Amino acid sequence: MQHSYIDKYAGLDSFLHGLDPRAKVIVSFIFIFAVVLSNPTAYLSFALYGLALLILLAVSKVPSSFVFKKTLIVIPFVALVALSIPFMKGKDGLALFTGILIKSYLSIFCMTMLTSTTKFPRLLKAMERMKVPSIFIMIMSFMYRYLFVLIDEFHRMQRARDSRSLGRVGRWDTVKVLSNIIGVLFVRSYERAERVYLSMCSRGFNGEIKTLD
Amino acid sequence: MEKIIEIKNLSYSYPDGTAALDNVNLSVFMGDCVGILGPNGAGKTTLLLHLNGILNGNSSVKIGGLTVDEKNLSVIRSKVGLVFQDPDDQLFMPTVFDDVAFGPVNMDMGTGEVQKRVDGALDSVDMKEYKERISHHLSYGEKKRISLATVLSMNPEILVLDEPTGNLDPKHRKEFIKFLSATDITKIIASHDIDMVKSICNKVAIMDKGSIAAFDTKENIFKNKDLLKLHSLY
Repeated sequence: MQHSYIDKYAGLDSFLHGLDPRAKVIVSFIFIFAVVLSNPTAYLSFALYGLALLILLAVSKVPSSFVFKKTLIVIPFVALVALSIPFMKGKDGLALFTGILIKSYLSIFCMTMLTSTTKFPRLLKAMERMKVPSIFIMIMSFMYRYLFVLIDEFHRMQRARDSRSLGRVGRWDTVKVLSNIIGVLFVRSYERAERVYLSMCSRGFNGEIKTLD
Repeated sequence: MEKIIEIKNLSYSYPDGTAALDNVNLSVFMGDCVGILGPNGAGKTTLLLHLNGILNGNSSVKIGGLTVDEKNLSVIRSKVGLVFQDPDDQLFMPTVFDDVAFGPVNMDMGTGEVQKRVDGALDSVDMKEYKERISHHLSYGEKKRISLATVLSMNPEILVLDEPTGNLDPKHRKEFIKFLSATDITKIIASHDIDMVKSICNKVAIMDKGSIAAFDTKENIFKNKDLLKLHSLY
């Protein structure tokens, strides 16, 4: 199926790819904290943060179009959430709003750099060794494993719809069909979760997450 | 010969009231390979889920003399290796290694032993070089083979397979059949693949509407064309 994996370029060979994943996780989090805690109008430091990320991007050999596409996806969501901020009383709302947009973009950029220079299983192993609670690691590993199964399933249903709709659908019909697909997808995921749990139980899982040291 | 699976008067209804199994009786001996044939919705998968206590009808299943119930569950699950039909249900960890190691790790084995088991299991399905691969990047046939390795690593006494050759291309199907016929573990195989059952099983059970319609040696079952026709198998 056609979709790009989040760690599509994690197999490349560069200085950044070769670093210990733990170091990358720690540095990313420090970076994000620094970005989030800086003054919303500190445009000079934002520019410097951005420059640092661009240098990393150049070093990493990851195609910049891939990274920019990935990072832009998040902006509409952030904008939507932050939409009310410019109308707040007593503060310079517009500056705050742009500040938030820039900060979230830089943070997403940083996370994208982390995931596109580190294979996800290695990232999970690193977090495991950094004593991140195993329940979080388990949840993330399931997310990584099944996100694409879900996307594939979505594409298949979309295709099935397209092959029967003869290309003559109005916008309202599309919305109706889409909501059906999402509903069915939810039920299917629920059922799959049940089967996966049974298959875990079949191999001796009893509620306690055990890991290999 | 030693009876390894003994099912007596097993009935089961799903929580919504649908009767799935109705008075099933079945005895399997050590080293047997039993094929379970039957139309869709006959209760084949439901029966398989009773063999390692995932479902529990009326506690009338015994594995190696042990009743399948809450207190024997961990022992039973290490003896019975159940492989689900959809490999995306069977392979739930990020990498192939993690998946094949999942069973041994849950059996509290040490790191060295787990490594050995994983290598052995992957080697036996000819997938050794796939250890570090990521499960969702594999082809269907590869996923199917690794699914089998995930239970082989637990060294089960009984292999329970749900539709093992379903959706496989002819080449991989042939390889899979060759592998299955080479292992001498007791096997229970639910399938629609009559040719596969013919070539590797020594006994065949026909299921229909939740009960066992016939259970006999492969020769006797396949001789009886009327029986096969009656259950939509011919």
